[in-house]
Amino acid sequence: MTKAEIIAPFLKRLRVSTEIDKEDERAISTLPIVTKQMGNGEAIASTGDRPSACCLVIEGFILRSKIVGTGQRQILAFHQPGDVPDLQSLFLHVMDHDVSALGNCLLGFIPHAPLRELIKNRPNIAQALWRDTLTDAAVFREWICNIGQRDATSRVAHLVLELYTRLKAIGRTDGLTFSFPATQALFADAVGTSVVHMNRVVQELRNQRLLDFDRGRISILDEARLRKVADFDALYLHLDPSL
Amino acid sequence: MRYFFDIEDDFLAVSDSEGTEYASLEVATKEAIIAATSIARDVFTSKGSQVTVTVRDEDRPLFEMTVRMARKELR
Repeated sequence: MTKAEIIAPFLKRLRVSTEIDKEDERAISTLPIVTKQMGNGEAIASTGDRPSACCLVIEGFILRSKIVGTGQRQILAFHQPGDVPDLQSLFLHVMDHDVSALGNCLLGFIPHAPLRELIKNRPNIAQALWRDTLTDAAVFREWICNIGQRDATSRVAHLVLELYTRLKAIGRTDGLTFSFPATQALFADAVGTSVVHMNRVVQELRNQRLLDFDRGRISILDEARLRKVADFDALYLHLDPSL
Repeated sequence: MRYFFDIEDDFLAVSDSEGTEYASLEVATKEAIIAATSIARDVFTSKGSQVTVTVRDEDRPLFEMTVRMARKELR
């Protein structure tokens, strides 16, 4: 895999949501990146770790989670190609949650030192990454609203629309269908509901002809109605830098 | 041990074909309580009044649990 191919998803995403120029892109392409293939569930960084590199998702998906109380897992976020989910480790040195692979994925590890240098020398990139962590916080705010206030069906509908909207922005949807290797148990952990309740939600969304889940592929059947059920407004994703 | 949780309420009947591993019947029972009560919230706010979760293992049904909404007019 060439360096250009490795950083392509990252550049694509920065171009979608921030303003970086050719010089910035050239500077990013000089970053040393070590690629690594990882399998479903493998730990990328765990609570208490002191990572010395940030991880760029090149292909596939990863998730961030936290183990609560007696072992229940709360999924905090899903990340797709182009994301650098543990960017915070650059400044917050000890991990306060876990990052792991969701399905098979290809990751690129960027050592902290050159990344820090890059931020010092390229203000556009510093701003882009700052914006990135702010957007991250906006997504967490929305997840709090989702889990705290919406019923289970709306929560799942909302999460699906979030995944769809973010994947569409990087050209990874096929019409209203996209690949996402999450089981229902995983969705349950993300929206804070039991697996049993999740089974019912999936059945209800199918019966209402809103969504279909078929082994790693999710299809939106009626986007307008699903948006209504989900109470979804994409503003919090801040995908358009001109807004 | 693998447990299966079938749900029946005013709107839907969902049979669990995959099941989920739990360490003991006690843990599975707790899961059934959490599921039944959280589903009840959604069903009751949509004007339903009853949720039953039937728990099975690989061989046979073990127990069922019902959450019911009772409302009494006071005026």
